[in-house]
Amino acid sequence: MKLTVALLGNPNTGKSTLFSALAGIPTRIANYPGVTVEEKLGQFRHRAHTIKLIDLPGAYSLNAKSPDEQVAVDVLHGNLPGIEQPDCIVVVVDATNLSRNLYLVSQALAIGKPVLVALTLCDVAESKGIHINREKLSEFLGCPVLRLVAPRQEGIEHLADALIESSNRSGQTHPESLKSHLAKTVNSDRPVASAEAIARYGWIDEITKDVLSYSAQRSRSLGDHIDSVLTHRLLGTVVFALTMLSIFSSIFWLASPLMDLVSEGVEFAAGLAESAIPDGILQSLVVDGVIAGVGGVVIFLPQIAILFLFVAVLEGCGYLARAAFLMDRLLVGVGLSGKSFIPLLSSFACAIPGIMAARTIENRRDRLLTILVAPLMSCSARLPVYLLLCSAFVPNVAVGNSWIRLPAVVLASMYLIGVLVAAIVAFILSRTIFRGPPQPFVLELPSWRWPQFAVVAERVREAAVSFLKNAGTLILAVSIVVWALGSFPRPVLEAGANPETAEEQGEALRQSFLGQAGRLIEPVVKPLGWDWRIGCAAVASFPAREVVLGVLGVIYNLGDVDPGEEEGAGMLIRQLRAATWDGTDRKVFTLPVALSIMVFFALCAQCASTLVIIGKETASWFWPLVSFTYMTALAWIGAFFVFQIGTALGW
Amino acid sequence: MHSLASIDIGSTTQVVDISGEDSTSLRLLEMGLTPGVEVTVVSAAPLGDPVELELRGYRLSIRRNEAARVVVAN
Repeated sequence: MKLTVALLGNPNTGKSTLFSALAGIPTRIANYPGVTVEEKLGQFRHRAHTIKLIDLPGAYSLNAKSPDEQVAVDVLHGNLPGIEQPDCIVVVVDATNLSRNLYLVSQALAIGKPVLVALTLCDVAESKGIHINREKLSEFLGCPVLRLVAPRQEGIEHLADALIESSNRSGQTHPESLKSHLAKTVNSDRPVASAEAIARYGWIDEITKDVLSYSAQRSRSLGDHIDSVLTHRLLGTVVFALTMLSIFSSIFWLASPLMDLVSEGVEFAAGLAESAIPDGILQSLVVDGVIAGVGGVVIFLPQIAILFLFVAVLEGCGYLARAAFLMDRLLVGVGLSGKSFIPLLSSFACAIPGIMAARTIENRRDRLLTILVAPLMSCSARLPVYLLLCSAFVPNVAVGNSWIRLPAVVLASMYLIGVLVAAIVAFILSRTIFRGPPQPFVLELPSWRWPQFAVVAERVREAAVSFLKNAGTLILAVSIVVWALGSFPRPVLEAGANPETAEEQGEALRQSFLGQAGRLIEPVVKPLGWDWRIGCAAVASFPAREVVLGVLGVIYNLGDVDPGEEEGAGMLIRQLRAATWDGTDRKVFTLPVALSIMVFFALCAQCASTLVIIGKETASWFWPLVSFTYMTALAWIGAFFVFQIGTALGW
Repeated sequence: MHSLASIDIGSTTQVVDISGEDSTSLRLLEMGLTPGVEVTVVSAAPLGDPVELELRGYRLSIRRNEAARVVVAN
C-alpha cells in the first residue's frame, strides 16, 4: 500500500536527521515550481507498504511569511501542482522548547489529515532536566506522540508503524479545548491572526502546565555555559573572529593538496589524450578545449566540498545562528543582515558555494542582494593574477618607515576594494531598487547539539553533485567555444614554419577570432591603459578568470604558462616587463596599468560558473545578466580611474 | 510603559502586549511573545543590536526596533 507523509516542523528540530533515518538519501531534490525553495522527496518500505516522504522546509507558523513557509502550507493543502496532498502529517517537535513548537502543531491539527507528533532532541531535553508526560500530551492533542532519539535510531520503528496505523484513521479531529480557546477570539478588537495566535498560546499554556515538569535541580547545562562565552560581547567576538579565520584559512590549506591531486589528474588525462589522439584539431579540441576547460572547473571541487563541510557542521551544531547574531548590526548598516555573513565570507574562497549558502536567508530581498554582491568578494581564482602583477610591477619597497612592504599593501587593497564596492552597491540597492519595508530579524538561537553526520554528509554530497552537474555542463560548452574562437581561423604560416613553436602559437592566436576580437575592442580598453593583447586576455578570461595567465603566456609567445611553475612565472614577468606598444618603444606595463588590470579583475564577473549558479539560485536568467552587466561596468570604471589617476600622479 | 528595548541585560520581566498590527507584530506573537509570558534579556551583540532573549525555554534574537514593540511590565 502507498502512503504519502509530510515532515513538518520548526527549523533546527532535526527534521533532516529524521528524514535520513527513515528514507536514506533523497530520491529527488529540485526546486518547487516557480520558487527557489528546494523540494526534497524520499521513499522507503516498511512492512510491505511503500511510504513516500516529503521533507517540508522548516516553518514556525502556517501563516506564511516567507517562500519557505508558503511552500509548506501549499503542500499540506495539496495546492502545489505535481505534489499529491500528504495522507498524514508528522510534526517534528523539539522537546527542549515544547511550548513554541506546539504552536505549529496546533495549526497542523486544523488541516484535517491525521497528525503524528515526533518528539526529538529528547536526550538534550533530559540533560536540561525537562520532562514531558507523553501520554497526557497525546490526550490533549488527540494524536499519537512518539519519542525519538534519531542519532541512534531509537523509536524509528515505532514511528514507521504509527504511520501505517494512521492511514486507518479517518482524519484528525480538532481538539475541543483548542476550539474553545479560538472561539473566544470573536470578540477581540485585534486583527484575527494576532487574536488567534494569543488564543493558541493560551491553549498551549494550559497544556504545558500539566504536561511539562522540571527536575528539582535544573542546573545550567554545558550548552548554557558555552553560550555565555560565545555571545559575550568581547569573548564572543574573539572566538567568532578566530573561528572564521580558521575556517577561511583551512579552506586554502586543506584544499591545496587535494587541488594538486585534481590538477595532476587533469594533466594525466591531458597526457593520455595527447598520446592517444594524433596531432591536429581533434587533439587540440580535447586537450586545450575540453580537458583544460573542465579541468579548470573541477579543480575547485575540493574547496567547495570543504566549505560546505564547515558550513554544515556549524549549522548542525547551532553556531551559524550565533554568527548571524554577532554580525547583524554591521551588515544592517549596508542594507544586508546577519544571515548574509557566512555566504559572503565563503565567497572569498569561491563565490559558488557562497551563493549556494545564501539559501539560509529566508528574506527574499536580502537573499537576492547577498547573491548580487557575493562575487565582489575576491575569490581564490583572482589570487594568481594579483600575485603575478604585484610581484612584477609593484616596487618592493617598505611603506614609510615600517616593515610593511608595498606589494602586500596593494594585495590587501584589492581585497578591500571588493568589500568596499560590495558595501556601497548593497547600500545603494537597498535604498533604491530593493527598497522595502524592513523585514523582521527574528532568529532562534538553537540549543547546542552535536551535528548529525548523516545530515552533514548529505549536504556536502548535494553541493558537490550540484556544482559538478550545473557548472560542468555550461563551462564545458563555454570552454569549447573559447577554444574554437582561439583556434580558428587556422593560422596562415610562412612556408616551412613550425606550428609548435611559441612564436607561431602566438601568431596563430593573433590571427584567430579571439585575437581579432582583442584588436577590435582595443579602443575600449585603451583608456584603461591596455593594449589589444591585454584586452584579448581579458575577453578570453570571461568564462573563467583563471585562464588569464595562460592566455597571456600564449599571446606573448611563451606557449602555455603554468603560473605555479617558478620558471614559467619568471619568464612571463620578464616578457611582460619588456612588452611594448605595437610599433613603438613605449612600455605597455606601467604600475598604473598593472593596478588597473588588478582592479578590473577584482570587480569583474569573469566566471561563467558563478553566473550559472546565480541563475539557478534565483530561477531566472535576468539576475545573472544584471550581475554580469553591473560588475563589468564597475570593473571598467574602476580600472579607468585607477589608470588615469595613477598616470596623472606619475606612479 | 516600558518596552523590551529599554530593559537591562540580565533582567526578567513580563510581556504586556505587542504594539502594531503588521506582520512583524504577528511574528513576534507567534514566536511566543504573548501577553503574560515571562521573558529575560540575556545579552546584546557587541554593537548593542540585536538582543538575545530567553522565553518559553528557548533563546530568541531580535533587533532593538523589534524589541521596542514589545510592551512589558515595570
